[in-house]
This record gives sequence, C-alpha cells and structure tokens, in this order.
Amino acid sequence: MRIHIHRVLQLLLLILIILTSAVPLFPEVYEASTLHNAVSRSETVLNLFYHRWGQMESREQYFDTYLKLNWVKDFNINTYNSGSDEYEPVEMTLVRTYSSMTVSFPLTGTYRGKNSRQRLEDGAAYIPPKVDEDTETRETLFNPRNLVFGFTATGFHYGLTRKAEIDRGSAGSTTVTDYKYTQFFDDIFAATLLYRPYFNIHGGIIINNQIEPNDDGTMDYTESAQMRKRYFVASNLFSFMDVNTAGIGDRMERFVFALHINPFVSLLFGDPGPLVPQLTITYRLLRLYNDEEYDAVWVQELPEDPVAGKSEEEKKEASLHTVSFLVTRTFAERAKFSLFIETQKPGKKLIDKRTDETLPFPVAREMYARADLDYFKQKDIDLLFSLGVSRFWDPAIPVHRESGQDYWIFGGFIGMSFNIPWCGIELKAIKNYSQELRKLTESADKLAFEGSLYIRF
Amino acid sequence: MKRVMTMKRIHTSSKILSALYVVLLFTISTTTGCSYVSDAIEGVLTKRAGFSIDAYYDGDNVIVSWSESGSGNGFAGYEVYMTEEPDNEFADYIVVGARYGISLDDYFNSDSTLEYSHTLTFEHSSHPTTGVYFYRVGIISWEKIDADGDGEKDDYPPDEPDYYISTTSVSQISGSARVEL
Repeated sequence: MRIHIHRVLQLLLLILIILTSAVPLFPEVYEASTLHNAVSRSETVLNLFYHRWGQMESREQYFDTYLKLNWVKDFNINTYNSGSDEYEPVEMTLVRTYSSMTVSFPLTGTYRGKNSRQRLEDGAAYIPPKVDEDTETRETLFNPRNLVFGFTATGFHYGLTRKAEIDRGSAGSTTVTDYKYTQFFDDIFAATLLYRPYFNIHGGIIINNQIEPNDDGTMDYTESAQMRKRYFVASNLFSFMDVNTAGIGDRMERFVFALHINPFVSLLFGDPGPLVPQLTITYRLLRLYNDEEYDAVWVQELPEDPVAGKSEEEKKEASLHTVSFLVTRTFAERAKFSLFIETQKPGKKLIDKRTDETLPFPVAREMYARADLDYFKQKDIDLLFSLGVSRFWDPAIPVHRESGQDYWIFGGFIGMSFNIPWCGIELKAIKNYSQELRKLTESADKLAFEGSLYIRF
Repeated sequence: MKRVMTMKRIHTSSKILSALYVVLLFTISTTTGCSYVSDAIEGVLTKRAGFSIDAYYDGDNVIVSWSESGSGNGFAGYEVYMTEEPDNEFADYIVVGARYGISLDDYFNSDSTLEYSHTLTFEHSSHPTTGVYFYRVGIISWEKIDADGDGEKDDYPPDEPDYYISTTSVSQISGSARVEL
C-alpha cells in the first residue's frame, strides 16, 4: 500500500513540476476584467455559499466554518515607481481569501428515513422528543429535526499584493507584503429556513466593497471607496429543483434554474440505484456584459468615441444564457468521475474590443472532466486524490493569456484532501482550470496554489 | 410540587442557554465568516505591512518616527530598514538600525534605545548622501526556548546579542516611507 501512495505522490509531483515549468518568464502586463465585475464576483461568492450549505445539508450538520487561501503568481503590473518617477512592470501576487461560517438551529420536529423518498413515505412523521423524568434528560439541541433555521456569513477578498525581502543582517531575513491597487471585499449575510425533506429557502444581502490602499502599502478597512448592496433569494424543492435569483435594486442580474434528475426520478419511481449516473441540468442567466471599461466586449455597437468609450446614455447590457449538464458516477465507492458540459448563447450581439468585430460565440462554453479517488474507502475518513482537465471559452481569455489569440484555453488541476467527520484540509495546484477561470479570467496562464481548511459538526 | 418547580427551572435555564447559544453563534458567524477576517489571516501569514510611519531628512539625519509600539515580555526591540538601492520603491530592504550590532553595512547604526517599547523615533546618521530611499520599521519579538530544560519551549531567552540574532523574529512591520536625500 505504501508503494501505491508513493507512486501516486510521485505522479502528482510530476504533474506539478510540468505545470510549474509551463509558467512563462515574462508574462504580459495585467488588465482587470472579472476582478472589477461585481456581477461575476457576486456569482462566485454565491457559489461558495451554495456549496457550503450543500455540504452541511447532505451531512445533516449544523455548524460549518471554512477558510480558503489562494495565491495566483506572475501578475506583472505596469506600476508607478515613486523612487524613479517612472512606470515599470512589477511582479505581484493576486491573493484570494475565502471564509465562511454557518450556524443553524434545529427548531422542531424529528423524522425517519434515510432519504427524501423514505421520509415522504413516512410522512416525515413527528416523533415526540423523549423525556426521561427519572434522569431529567432531554434530547440535545443537535438531534436531527425537520425545521431548521440557519445563518451564514460568507466573504471573499480579492486583491494584488507585492512582496519585498528584508535583510536583517546576522539575524536572518524576512519578507513583507504590501497591498497594491484596489482591494475587493464581497460578503454575504444570509438567513436560511430548511424544512426537511420538502424545501429550503435562503435570503440575504451581498455587500460588494472596494477599498483603495494607502501609498505606503497599508490599508484601512473602514475607508471604503465604493460599496454596493445586492440581494438574493434561493430555494430548493424536494431536493431536486433549485431556483436562485440575485439582483441590485429592482434589476435582476442572475437567475438559475436547476433540476437534479436522480432525486426527481427517485421521488416518482423509486431509487434507480447507485449504478445510474447522477445527472443535473442547469439553466443560468447572467447579466454579465454592461459596456463597462473592464468588459472585454461592447454590447451591440461600437462607441461613437472609441477612445473615451461609451457614455452612460450609450451603455447597454447583455445577458449570457447557459445550459449545463453535469454527470457524476461513483465506482466501487471510492472513485468518482464527473463530466460537465455547458452551452451558451448571448442575449445580444457582442463586439470584441480588441478587434472591433462581432464575437463568434461558439455553442460550448465550458467542458471539464474530473476524477476523485478515495484512498481509504472508509465511511468516516477520506484521503482524496483529485485530477481534472478542462476547456474554457471566454471573450476575456485573449486579453489575459500569455500567448495566442484564441478565446478558448485548456487547463487542469491536481489536488488532495483529507477529511474526517469534524474537519478537513485540501491542497491544490491549478492552471487554467475552467472552474477557476469562471471565477477570475485574469488567472489565465498563471499558476495558482490553494489551501483550504474547514471544521464542521 | 417541588419536582415540577425543578423541572420548570431546568426548562427555563435550557431556554436561556439556547438563546445565549444562538446569540453566541450569530456573533461568531458574523465576525469570522467575513472577507476581512480571511484577509487578516492571510496578512498575518505573509507579514502584511500593518502600520504607517513617517520619515524625513532634516539636512543632517533621516528621522524615522512611528506610533505603533511593541509590548509585553516578548518584545525584543525595534529595527529600521532602508531600501538597498536608490530611486527604486520596489527594491529589497537592508537593516540600518537595531539595538545590537547585527550588520556590518556602512549604512547601519546601532542604537541601544531601540530596545525600549516607548522609543518611537530613530535618527539615521549613516545614510546615503543622495537619492530617493524608502524606510520601514519592524517590531521584533523573542521566540520562546526551552531554557529550564523541562522539555517545553515556554521560556524567553536571555537578553543578549547572540540570542537576539538566533531567537528573534519580526512580529509586525510597517508600510514604507519615502525620503529624498
């Protein structure tokens, strides 16, 4: 067995070396796009929120705290040097930190059954809590109950930092990092009502905050340069249907409708069994293109003044409609394979800012395949080795990639995670993997490292 | 009757505890689940510049001053750093001021007052003659050692130069301050 672990680690190391060696020595100067797009960033923070709630709900847990630190290297930024009074390329790191904490409170009702169908057949019957008057013991707060109220705070920080070395003489050396350029802080504060197994509903506020750091590299969290509030509502019915929406004021920016086919079939006809792959179909609408300076495309027409761009009156918005299919299948309880395909269609004609020509939107936006292998094959302990490859299309890819002009890019990741019932850690090396490019197109052709830690019960 | 009263008290206590539990978890979740906390954690790991300093040239010396002070038994002193080359904001730094002679560089000044937490100024006399330079201040902490041989690293080392060199680290570091000479 040791030999097998050794071989797997060798393979992971080899892939990591190949990925690392592919990093170019002289990357292009950075231009922001999705980093400044609050719609895109809100999508990212919402996805983390749904992911953490999904984890908690599937395990019927009541507390979850999660921290993820992600460093994307090789951002070469044309930056003003106040020592030489000139602009010059300066190497920086894009830091992304995510944290989330969910607490929920089981209010009332208990239930039987291992899944939704069994619970519905049993009528989710209320079983009175046991009270033993002799010992004066009652059920604990964490016994499973039908009606659960939860509260979640989830936050993302994105920002560039620069590192400097400090020589302390004979006392050694150290480093310091400075904030550089706008720092983005996106937070969700949400309340959840869950009534097993019938529905859940989330509602909350997304606060998009931007802070400009001081010239000396420090920053004051209280000095906001721009703050916007968005709202979202999300629901799931009978574990098979998701309906999510988010917007700002009375303007809807995001709408998602998803069907989880297997729970739906299970509800109607009974459990199809573990041999049948899990299928999820999702329709998504995102008002992604808004004729902003950071967008890679113009909506419908070119601006009258190409240098100044579009005035507020000229600006238009366009939605991106996507339909995706996710198929997962688990083999021998230890190997899980996932295949994802997303198709796309823009709501209006889009013009590439680089070429001034109409953008030829292909049908396929994203494809990925990933494999997760559980080494231990035990119920309570996971040692997962993961590998994924992908192809991603986006108008901003040629803006950020180091070489080539194509809108699509191939990528992948390797990772490992170790989970026990109360906590877990995850390590990843990523380059051009589609799930990361969705969050941040600027990371194209750049190697990212990521560490995650969570505690839950 | 007494038993019923006891049960009621237990239930009332249970409700109060439940309410406290909700308030406590709500508070924890709002404070720790936000983007600023995760950024602060990353900032500690990568030693983010945490406070501002002032620096100017008075025609004779470079005067560096700060208001963030070190404290506690772990405080080992202040160190002052300067960019190693002129006219480059993004250059690396060298130490130019410390309580012990930890550098042989021509620009280094040993200053025993930097051992005191109430010292908030440093005069750099051995500075370069021309050019734009950037300064930073570091707050230095002792690392604990096993001085009493009990197998636990829970003792501060003796306040001596050799220990300063081998068992101190930078606990906080300032942003940069520009000085034109």
